[in-house]
Amino acid sequence: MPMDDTYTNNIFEEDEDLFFEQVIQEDFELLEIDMLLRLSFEDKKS
Amino acid sequence: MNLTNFNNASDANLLSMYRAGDKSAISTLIERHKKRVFDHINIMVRNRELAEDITQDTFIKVLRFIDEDRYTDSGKFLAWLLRIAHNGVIDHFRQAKKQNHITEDDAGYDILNNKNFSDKTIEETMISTQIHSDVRKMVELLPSEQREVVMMRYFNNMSFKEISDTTGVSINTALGRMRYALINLRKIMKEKNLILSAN
Repeated sequence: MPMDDTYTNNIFEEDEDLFFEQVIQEDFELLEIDMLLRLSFEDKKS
Repeated sequence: MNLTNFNNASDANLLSMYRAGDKSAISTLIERHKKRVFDHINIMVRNRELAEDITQDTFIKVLRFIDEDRYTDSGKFLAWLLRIAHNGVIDHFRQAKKQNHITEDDAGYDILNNKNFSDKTIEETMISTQIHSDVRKMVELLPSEQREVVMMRYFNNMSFKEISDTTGVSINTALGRMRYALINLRKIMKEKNLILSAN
């Protein structure tokens, strides 16, 4: 399958659906941990 | 429908009324969830003015998605709202990071006018850096299978499909490990009294 924008966006959306439905499961405090992890590892990469 | 009926209506009913042409139903829906969305954003950005801007952007996007029929109601309207808000915060931090990357040429004339430099003091930057370092140390305390998923997702930016392929477990197992990792990190942070401040 070609790696065009549509393909990438679909994969991204599908992944995000899984994350919100099966990881977060409406426990919204976990989103704060998600954000902290994102920033903490961005910090490490930069 | 009068205001009392609006207030008693479910999110799904208000959406149906809005779609059927009752424009005022959407105001009730927005008012109902505005504070929850704002609080969620403010916890992460720790800046009321910025949180208000991102909240406003969130509702603009939400309205556009509804108007374009890109939202299918599954009884989880608030979850959908918070997801859009969360993505708005991620976009904000990405943008801020991009603006902080100053080339040598830029630095010659623009460094003093750069909003990020003037907005964030050296002390705040040091505190953020310390918190991020503490968070990375807490990840080290997770069981190895959970730590592996966290590193693949947040450090290597891998999708759950890629994590599943790499580790040889099902996507559901990878998702479950991620959920336990986040729950355990929350527990560790509370035990260690780390203030949840994202920026």
